[in-house]
Amino acid sequence: MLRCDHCGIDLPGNPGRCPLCQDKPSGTPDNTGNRFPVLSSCQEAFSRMLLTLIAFGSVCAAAVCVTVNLILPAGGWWSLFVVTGIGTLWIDLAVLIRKRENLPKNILWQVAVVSFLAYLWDRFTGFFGWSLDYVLPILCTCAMIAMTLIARIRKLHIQNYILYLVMDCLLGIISFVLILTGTVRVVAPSAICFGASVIFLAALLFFEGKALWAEIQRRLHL
Amino acid sequence: MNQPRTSQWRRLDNAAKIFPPTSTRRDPKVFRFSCCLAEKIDPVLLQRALDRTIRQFPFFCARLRKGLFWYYLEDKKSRPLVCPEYKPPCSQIYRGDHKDLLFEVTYFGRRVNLEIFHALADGTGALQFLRTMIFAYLAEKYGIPGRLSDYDAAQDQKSLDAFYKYYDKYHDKNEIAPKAKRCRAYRIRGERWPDGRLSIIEGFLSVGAVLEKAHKHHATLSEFLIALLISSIYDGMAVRERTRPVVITVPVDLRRFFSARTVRNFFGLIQIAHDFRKDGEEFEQVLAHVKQSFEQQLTKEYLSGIISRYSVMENNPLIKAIPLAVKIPILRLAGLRSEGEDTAAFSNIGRIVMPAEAAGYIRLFDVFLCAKRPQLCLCSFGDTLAISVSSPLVDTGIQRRFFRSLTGLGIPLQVVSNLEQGGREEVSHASV
Repeated sequence: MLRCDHCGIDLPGNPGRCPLCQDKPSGTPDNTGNRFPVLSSCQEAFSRMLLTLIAFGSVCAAAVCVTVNLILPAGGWWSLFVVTGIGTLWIDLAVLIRKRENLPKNILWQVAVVSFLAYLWDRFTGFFGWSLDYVLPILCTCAMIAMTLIARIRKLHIQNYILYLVMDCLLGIISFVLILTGTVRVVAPSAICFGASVIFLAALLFFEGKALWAEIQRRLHL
Repeated sequence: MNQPRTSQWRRLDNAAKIFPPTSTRRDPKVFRFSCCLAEKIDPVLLQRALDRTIRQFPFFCARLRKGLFWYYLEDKKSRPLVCPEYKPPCSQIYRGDHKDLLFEVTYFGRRVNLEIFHALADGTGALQFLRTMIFAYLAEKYGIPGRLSDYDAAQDQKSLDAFYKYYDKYHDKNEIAPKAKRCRAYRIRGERWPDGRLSIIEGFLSVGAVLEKAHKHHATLSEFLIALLISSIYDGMAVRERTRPVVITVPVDLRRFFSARTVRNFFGLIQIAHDFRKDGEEFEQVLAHVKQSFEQQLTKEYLSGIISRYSVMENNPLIKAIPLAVKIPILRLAGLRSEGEDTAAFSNIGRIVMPAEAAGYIRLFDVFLCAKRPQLCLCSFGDTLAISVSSPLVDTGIQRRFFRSLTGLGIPLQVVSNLEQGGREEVSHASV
C-alpha cells in the first residue's frame, strides 16, 4: 500500500499525491482500486455554447443597427424597434428555457408572457388593439388545443396538466369580459375563444371534476 | 390504462421545508451513504434489491412539486434504476421542474452509493433504506435466509411527520430553547473548487483505538473528535481572527429522545461555540467546554424546546398564508443568514449494525454531506470508523491537521479522497 510519510497515513488505491499534504507517496500501490471513479469532463457545454452564440449574435445585431441608425438618422429611430424586439425575444426565450421541463406549464406561461408583451408593444405603438383583438384569444384557443393534444400524445397523467388547462380557460374567459366592456373591436376571435373555453372547462368539470378537486386541494394546502 | 386518477401526496416535514428553496448547484443539500462490500457489485442483483426495498419504502418514489403555499411530495409511479457512478459526489438531485426522483442508487467497483435530497429523508432514514437494500442484495447473492428484522415499522410509522407529532403548542414560551446569542462565527475562507465541486477526504481507523483515547479524557467519541476538530481549526487561524468564536453545528437525531420510527427528517441542530479568549486555547480546555455544551443541550427539555421553536413558525397561520413565491426568497435569506453562524459541522451517524450473517460480506459504511463549509461526518461499522470531511475549499489545512492529530496519537489511519476524480487538471490545481 502507498504511504505518506509526512502525514503518517496509508493510502489505499493508487493516488498520485497525498490528499492531505499533496506530497508524492512512497511504496507500491495496492490493487484495491480507487474509491472514486475518474470522471470525464462536463458534457453540457454544447447547449450552453449555442446559447452564448445566439446571445452574442443578438448583441452584435443590435449594435450594428444602432450604429447604422446613428450614422444615417434620416429614417427616424428605427433601431429602437430592433433593440426592443430583440429584448422581447430574449424575455420570451428565458421563460421558454426556464420552464422547458414541464410542457403544459410552459404553454400556459407562453400564453401569458406573449400576450402581455404583445399588449405592451400595441400600447406603445399607437394602440390599434391588435393584441387584444387577435393575439390573446388566438393564443388562448391554440394553447387549449395544444395542451390537450400533448396530453394525449405524451400520455400525461391528468393531474400533470389539468390545472394549467383550467387556468388557460380562465384566461380565455377574459376575452368575453373584453367583448362585454367593448374593448375588443374584432369580436370573432374572442367569441370563438370564449366558446372554446366554456366547452373545455365544462368537459374538465364534468369528466375530471374529482381530479381537478384533488389537484386544487394539494396545490392550495396550507 | 390502469392509472389511478389521483396520486398520493404528502406535506414536507418541518425540517425539510428549508431545503428546496435553498438548494443550489453549489449547495444541493444532498448527502451520500455508501457501503463497501467484499466483492464487486453485481448490477442486476442490486437492481432487484432496490426493487424489493422500494416496496418497503414506497414514499421514496416521490417528486417534489410546488403548491401555492408550500412545496409537497407527490408519489411517482416509476421504477428507480441503479446505474454506475457517473458524476461528482453529492451533485444536484432536485432541479426545479425536473421530474426526477429525489434519490439515486449508483455503484462503482465494490461500493454501493445512495444519494438523497435532504428534503426526502435524514441520515437515519436514509440509512434504514440502505441497510434494507444491502441486506436484500446480500441475501440473494449469498442465500442468507430471513429479513432485516431489527427495523420494524409500518408504512404510516415510516412516513410520519414526527415534528408535527411532538410539537407542543402550549409549550411555555419561556421554556422554548433560547436561541443562543449569535455572534458571527469564524469562517474559513479561500479558493473554491470550480463548478461547485466538493473535496471529500475520508479517513478509516479503528473505533477501539479512538474510543480508548477518548475515554482516557473521560469523553465520548463525539466530544473528543469535536474538540480535536476545534483545535485543528484554531491552529489554522490568523491571530487577529482568534477573536471570533469557532462554532460547530451538530445535528442531533431526535429519535434518540422522542420515540419515532419515521424515515423522514427528524433532527435538531445544536451548536457548540468556543471562544478561545474566554474558554481557553488548550486541548483540555476545549474538550471541557465541548463536554459542558453537550451536557447543557442534550436534554429532552432543551430539544423539545428546539422542536417548538422550529414548529412555531410553520404553524403560524399568517406565515402559512404567504404564497410560496414570496416565501422562497425569505427562506433563502434565512438560509444565507444562518450560513454565517457556524465554522464547520459535525455529524455522527453512530454505529451501523447489520445481522451477523450479512456482516461478513461488508467491509465498511461511510457517509458524507454536501457543504458550503467543512463538514465532518462519521459512522462506524464493526471496528472501522469512517470519518469523512467534505469541503468546497481547495485548501485542505483543516483536514491535514485533524487527521495528523489522530495519527499523532498513534492511531493507524488510511486516507482516500476524490481529489483526483477530475483527472490531471485537479491534481495540478491542488498542488499550486
